[in-house]
Amino acid sequence: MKQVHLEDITRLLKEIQPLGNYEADTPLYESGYVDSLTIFGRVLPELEKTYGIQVEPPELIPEHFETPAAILKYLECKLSQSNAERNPKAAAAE
Amino acid sequence: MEKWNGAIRNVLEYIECSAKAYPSNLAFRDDETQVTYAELLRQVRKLGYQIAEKVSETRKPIVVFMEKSVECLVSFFGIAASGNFYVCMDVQMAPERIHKILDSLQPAAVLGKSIQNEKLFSDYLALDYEELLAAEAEDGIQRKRLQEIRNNMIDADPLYILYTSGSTGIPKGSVITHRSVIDYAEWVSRTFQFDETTVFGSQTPFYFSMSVLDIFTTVRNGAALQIIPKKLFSFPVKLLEYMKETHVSAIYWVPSALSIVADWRALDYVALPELRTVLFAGEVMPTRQLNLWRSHLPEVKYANLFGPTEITDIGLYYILDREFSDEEPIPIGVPCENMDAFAVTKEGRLIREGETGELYFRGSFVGRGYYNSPEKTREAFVQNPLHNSYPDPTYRTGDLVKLNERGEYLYQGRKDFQIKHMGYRIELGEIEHAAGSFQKLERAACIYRKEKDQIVLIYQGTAGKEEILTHLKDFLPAYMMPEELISVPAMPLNANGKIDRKLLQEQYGENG
Repeated sequence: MKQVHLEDITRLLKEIQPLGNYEADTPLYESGYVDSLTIFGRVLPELEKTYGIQVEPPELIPEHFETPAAILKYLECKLSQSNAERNPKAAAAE
Repeated sequence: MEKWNGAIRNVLEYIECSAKAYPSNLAFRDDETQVTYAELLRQVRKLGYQIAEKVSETRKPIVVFMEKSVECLVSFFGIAASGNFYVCMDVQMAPERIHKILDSLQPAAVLGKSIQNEKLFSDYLALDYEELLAAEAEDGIQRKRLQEIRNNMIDADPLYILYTSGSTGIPKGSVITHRSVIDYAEWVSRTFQFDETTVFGSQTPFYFSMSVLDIFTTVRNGAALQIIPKKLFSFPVKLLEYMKETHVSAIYWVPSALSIVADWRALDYVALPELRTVLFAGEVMPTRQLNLWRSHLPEVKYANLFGPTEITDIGLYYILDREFSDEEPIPIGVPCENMDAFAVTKEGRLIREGETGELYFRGSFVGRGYYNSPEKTREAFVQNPLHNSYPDPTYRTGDLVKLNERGEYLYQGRKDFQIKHMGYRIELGEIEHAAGSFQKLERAACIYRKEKDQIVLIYQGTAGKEEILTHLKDFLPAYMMPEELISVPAMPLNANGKIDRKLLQEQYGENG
């Protein structure tokens, strides 16, 4: 299973929007650097490509994307899900 | 509709009539506050009187420096009641840009919340919204003063000034009168049959011309305006749930916002039985996304509206009355009632079917020109190019349009370097000016990737990307910031020694 680290998320955000400073609990929407266009145009496509996941519409909620830490938590959850689907036995043993 | 007949001269009459007919109807609502029409009228009068007490003159600009909120709307009407006109400013706007606007505007006051110590406004009279509303006034005196002011106002007086991007780096302030806004709100209400049960779900910022439809159609009809929090436009399913909870029945959004909802299949998850009207403008609506909306909500009335800030909001419209394949463009349609729109070829004659020409508007929605900018005004507000027999002012848009076989106009693009990005109107020249003011940049040019809706800055110089962006942030609003920076060792030049934009577009455009 692919590991995700907080630095992966903050690095990605920095690449997309170099002006922001991204800590684990930086509120992304209030910072003024991230808006719907950055999220849909750059952040989501990049996450989907890098981690081979597909973000489902109902998962697009503030709780999953409000801070870099929230994105990390969401990604870990997604990755363990897809891992469980691919390999149900291994997941059960974990 | 009958009750509005007769000559309305001032948008405040809308609030007065609605407060009489529907005193307990909700007028404006956001997540924190709401006001009924009766309360709105009371607050507007109070604010108007208090402003007039501090600003003795009338017909002067007063800046509103507030987040998008109910208070912001109360301020607009309060300023109108004081006999002045409002200028709504983006609170996120870069300080240098605010300076430029204030310099050209020389406002009589700036109205906001706790802005007295704001350095930006130190040269101007700062008015505190809450202080003004809390001030005591004797009822009879207040009424008499407001009546005096009103008696001196005519419908040709400005209601507001709205700033848009300027190609020379200085934003342009369109002056719009009560008359234009009233005629526009009347047309909108008749055409789309809005009434006191309508709830507008407001998406666009109040410093953007599209919001004029939401605001003034609302008060004209005793309807309600619900401010939708900006953040929700990043969470499509949540957004629709919010619209459902707040009973939104009409929306007038930029296509980017409608497309997000369609692309993320939010309509599969939330039903919107109360939604009746979906209007859009500000940029080209992608037909594929519109078709998704239409297939999910076939009963809704859809219309594509078209027009620049200079003519209040809209001069052409097309109500969707037939099917379009995903590849077909949606027409921008036909002129609004009592407005004239025509397009002229390079040779100076009207276009025929199938030909492309530049679009002009004529009629009462057309504004008065740009504030404190006679030169820019003369360039765009011109004599009707088709005759010279009497003064016949028109607005020359710079938009290229074509006529189809049904007599509908189709949008073809711009004559110049103006682009639309998320619905915002941007002059690439303004971004280049901001970049050019950075010493470490020798040359800079901006191109626009239409397919990806991306602004790209190409530069020659020693600066790093982060410091360039830091510099630009002081000059440009967030929506004008380039999304990609490309460093080149030498800027390509054309035969005239100018930056070769064609080559840049080819090299770094769509597939760059």
